[in-house]
Amino acid sequence: MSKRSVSALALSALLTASSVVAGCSSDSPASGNPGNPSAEAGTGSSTGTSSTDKPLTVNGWADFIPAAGSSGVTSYNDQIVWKEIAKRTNVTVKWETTAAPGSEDYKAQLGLIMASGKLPDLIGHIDPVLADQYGRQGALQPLEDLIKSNAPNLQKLLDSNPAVKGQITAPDGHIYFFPRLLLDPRTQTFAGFMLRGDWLEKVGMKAPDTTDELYQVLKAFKEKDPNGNGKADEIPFTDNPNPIIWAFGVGSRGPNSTDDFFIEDGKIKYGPTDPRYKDALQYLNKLYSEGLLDPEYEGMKADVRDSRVMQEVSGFMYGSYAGYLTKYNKMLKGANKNPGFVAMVPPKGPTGERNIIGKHNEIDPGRGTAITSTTKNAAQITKLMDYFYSKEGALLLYFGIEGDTYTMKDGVPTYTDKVANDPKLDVLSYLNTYVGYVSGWPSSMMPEHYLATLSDEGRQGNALSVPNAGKKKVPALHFTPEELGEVQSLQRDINTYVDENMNAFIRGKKPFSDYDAFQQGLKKIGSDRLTQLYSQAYERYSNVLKAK
Amino acid sequence: MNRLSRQMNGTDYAIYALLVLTAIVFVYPFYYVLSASLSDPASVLSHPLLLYPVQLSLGAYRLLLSTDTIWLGYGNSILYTVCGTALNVTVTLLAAYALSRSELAGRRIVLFFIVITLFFNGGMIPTYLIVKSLGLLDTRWALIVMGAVTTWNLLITKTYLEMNIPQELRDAAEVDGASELNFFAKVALPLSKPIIAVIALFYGSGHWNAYFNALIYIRQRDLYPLQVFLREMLILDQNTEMMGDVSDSRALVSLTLKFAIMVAAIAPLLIVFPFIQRFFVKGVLIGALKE
Amino acid sequence: MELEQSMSRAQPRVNLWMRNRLKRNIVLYLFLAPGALYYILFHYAPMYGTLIAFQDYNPFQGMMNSPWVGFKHFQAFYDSIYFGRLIRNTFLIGAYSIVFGFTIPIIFALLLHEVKHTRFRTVIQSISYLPHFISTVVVAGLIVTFTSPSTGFINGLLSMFGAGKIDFLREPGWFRTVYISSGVWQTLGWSSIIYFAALTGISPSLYEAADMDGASRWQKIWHISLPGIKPTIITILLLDLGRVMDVGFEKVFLLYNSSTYETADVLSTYVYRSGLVQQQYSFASAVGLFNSVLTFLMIIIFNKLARRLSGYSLW
Repeated sequence: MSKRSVSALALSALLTASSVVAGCSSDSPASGNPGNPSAEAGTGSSTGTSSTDKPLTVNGWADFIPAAGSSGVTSYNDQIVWKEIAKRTNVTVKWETTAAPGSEDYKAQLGLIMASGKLPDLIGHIDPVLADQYGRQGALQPLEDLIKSNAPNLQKLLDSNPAVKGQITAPDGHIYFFPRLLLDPRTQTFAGFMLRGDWLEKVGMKAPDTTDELYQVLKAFKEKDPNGNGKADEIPFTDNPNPIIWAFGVGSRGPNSTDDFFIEDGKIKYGPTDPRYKDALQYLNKLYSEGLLDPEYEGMKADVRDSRVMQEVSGFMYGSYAGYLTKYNKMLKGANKNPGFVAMVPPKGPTGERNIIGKHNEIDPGRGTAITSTTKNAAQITKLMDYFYSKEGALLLYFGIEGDTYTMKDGVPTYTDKVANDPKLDVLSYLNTYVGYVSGWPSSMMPEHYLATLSDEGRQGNALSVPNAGKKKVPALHFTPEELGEVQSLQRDINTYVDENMNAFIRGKKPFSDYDAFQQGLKKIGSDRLTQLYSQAYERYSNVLKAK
Repeated sequence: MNRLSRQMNGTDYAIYALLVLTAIVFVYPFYYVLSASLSDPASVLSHPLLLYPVQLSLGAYRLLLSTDTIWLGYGNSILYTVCGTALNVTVTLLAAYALSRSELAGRRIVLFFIVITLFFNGGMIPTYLIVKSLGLLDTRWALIVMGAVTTWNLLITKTYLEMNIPQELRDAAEVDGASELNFFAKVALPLSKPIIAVIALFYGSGHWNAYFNALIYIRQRDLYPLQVFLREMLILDQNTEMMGDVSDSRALVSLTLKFAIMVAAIAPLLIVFPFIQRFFVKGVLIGALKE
Repeated sequence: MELEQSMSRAQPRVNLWMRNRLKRNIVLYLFLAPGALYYILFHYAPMYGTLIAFQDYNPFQGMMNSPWVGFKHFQAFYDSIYFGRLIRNTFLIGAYSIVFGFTIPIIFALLLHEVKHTRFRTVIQSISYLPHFISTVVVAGLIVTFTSPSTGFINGLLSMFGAGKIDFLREPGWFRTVYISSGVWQTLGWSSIIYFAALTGISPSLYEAADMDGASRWQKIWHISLPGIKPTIITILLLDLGRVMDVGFEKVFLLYNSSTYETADVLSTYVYRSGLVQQQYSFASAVGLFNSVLTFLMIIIFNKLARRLSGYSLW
């Protein structure tokens, strides 16, 4: 046999083998039936507990990570909520949970499930935008009719809160996921500005009310050595300064804000092309050049920020009441330092408004639960989900079992020692691990729960935020697939451009004489078109509101 | 020849000194991580250089080791590493040996097809579907078989075998009537010790650090390797920081927990390394048969 | 007559030789079989997935039902105002990484090979692997700490010598240096393993002969050690070149920020930022395919060059 014919043989064997194997395993689309949601009228029980339906077992898929230091819990199946709910609604969910830490991995896994064609009945944690995408492709059940017939609790909430309906409706008019609702304003305002109250006292000033006063306070922090160590090592304003831009009346991406858009006078507007944006950048540039803003603020990592706090060089920042304010005071106390952070009223900008963005919309972004189109039990699963929107359901989810994980004190549910004082886990971790996924399961969040996870200063901050938060915040918008493709394409470049320039201006790398060139550059790469697309989506949202 | 008897001259000392210096640079960050994991959290932040553990505290380790999943993860990872590496080395060595023989018909074409896979691949989803159709999903085999051969390791093994097991050796054995199998087992294998050690090291560390494949192909928590659990804890730790109230001690431990996690991941490897080094010695037969 | 006789005697010998070769080839292909099977199953069978780049792929409907869009994603990628910059950054980081990341481990392996005290060498070698196992997240964290203008010791040293402070991670001009030197540090020891193993394969008699000729240490290295591992060097060089555009996402992502986008933003980070929430399977695939084709063409050229210049090549 010649060398050549051997190679030829090898080659054809290779190709044949490849195509055979490929043929055997090509992904075939799942035969979903998105067009006909089953209109089984349920037994119409208004509390959602359908004990007259026969017992049912369905499959669910979600991500789950038990907290470090916990034991005995490997999936939702071991949690109090799921064991109890089987008794109360006759529906048992067999959960398959994945570890998938980090949302990228989770999305990848979801994609694989979709591709495999073997879908569970219930997808426990899905991002609303993904829900739109998969719903449109036929993988998920449209829910609006199911909700009307089987979910009285949720329907009531939708009827009385048109903003919710607007934010969960996809452009094709369907609803593809059950949202996690934050209806009480106290559950929405979760972040704000904070500063060292003890430093204020040391420098003899009162809490700043306007951005100009803030500047004075920061200056005093820098010059008067409030941490008392004799060194001028203070870096007054640390971490991301974007939230201050909102004080000037315009929107900006940053912590808790994914778009540079904002709502004003019933219209949606783009921050970076607004003239007030320049004022905001000039203010920040002033702070930066006088050493009042942390030179390493850009891309600051958590441990650098932690060390700024623990070394007591920083006096002012923006953050969540739970994760920053509460935590940092605890850390300072644990290190025998003064836990001096207090919440601050958002300062008034030159236009006289107060704005902070630390407010969730009525629906929690990034969280939802969907029913797949391949299920045969859509109606009963809808009833199951509806239970969580009822009072008893919410109580079960957020507090667990009376007597075991909570008790009623003066009519307010309060966590027992078992939960509140576990030696290894904090309250939230305990609940998420042993009770149920309180941080993300669809339900209407109970303010008592959120407030129980905060310290006193945290609660105080929460109270300060409620009247001032998020007036200009954009609601959750939905784009059609064509729009979404264009939006993403434009934003790729526009966001990069804005970030580079914004930080260059703040840090003084670019003089403000270049600002007009920046504005022209923005228009050239499509900021007008982007604004137009957002306006379209906002109009759709407004129409849904009006339709109710 | 006893090299040790030769005198060390000035250049020798210079080389040794340079190596010691680089060793310090290599070891320092790991030393930092180790010290940080054993230190009191609050002090870690105020001591950026950390030349020794500050205020010894085992809190991070206590938290880490009391999580059941850690031990499960260790067990699984050891299993995957040992079995996987054994499979890897076998398949790779056999294939590389074949490819190192210039008499193999169609050699260049086969090599070309192998190299192509370095650049073009179908992506995660098609591969997943293949694994699924083979029935490997959610089994330990998925993690042992995936990555059975990597092109990189295959090619460096082939190169080594080409250089060290020349055709003349084979021809000499042929004259003695040795079959291919005989030759491979009795001559090639012993001469391949260094490269076997190398690819065992590479494959082994690949298995030990494996994380993404486990996430994709496995559903049952019982089958997860160590890295998945460690990553989980890390991410959860970061998320908790953002979300809720934390107890005083817990808030601080999170600062050093990630270092303890790091140490937990590396520690077993440190035990293994010195054993592997032993194989980096010259094959006994080479001197006699070459040239 | 004599010729005929010798020819008829030669015939069977030739046949025997050919039969042996065939037998040996069959055995060799048997050796090759498991590996080949693996490649067919896990590399070639899924190969159709590269076509995702030409679709608007969605996993639920699969490749059969996802719409075909031709070069739309490639066009979108090409139309980006940052197209040139991304390619340039990715290529430069990759190229510099090869220049330093390829040559320095060889030098290190040669130095190690010069050490005669086995225990000392074993210790140094084991230590040199450590950085490879420290996760990127920790390395990035250390880099941030050490280069900090306020608390890092590098700037501390600089001010001791009277030089001004440098914010290494926010100056575009410094990014590559920081990225690559930390990369070299991290991979040096691990990469030198294969060279060291190859060096042990060189016959000691060659060195002994050189000693008798009075060769210096450096002459021995240049004329014996290096040529002795030439095939290994070429193989690895070609493999490295094949990955020049493969600048890893994680480390850049942890070290960059908008102030350094100018030099730090690479293909993988750009694609990541554009992901938002929706999975961008097709776009990422298109960028990847574009990348692959470029490097593949490059490797074909370099492989030919290697064969011509040194007689050794990948295939």
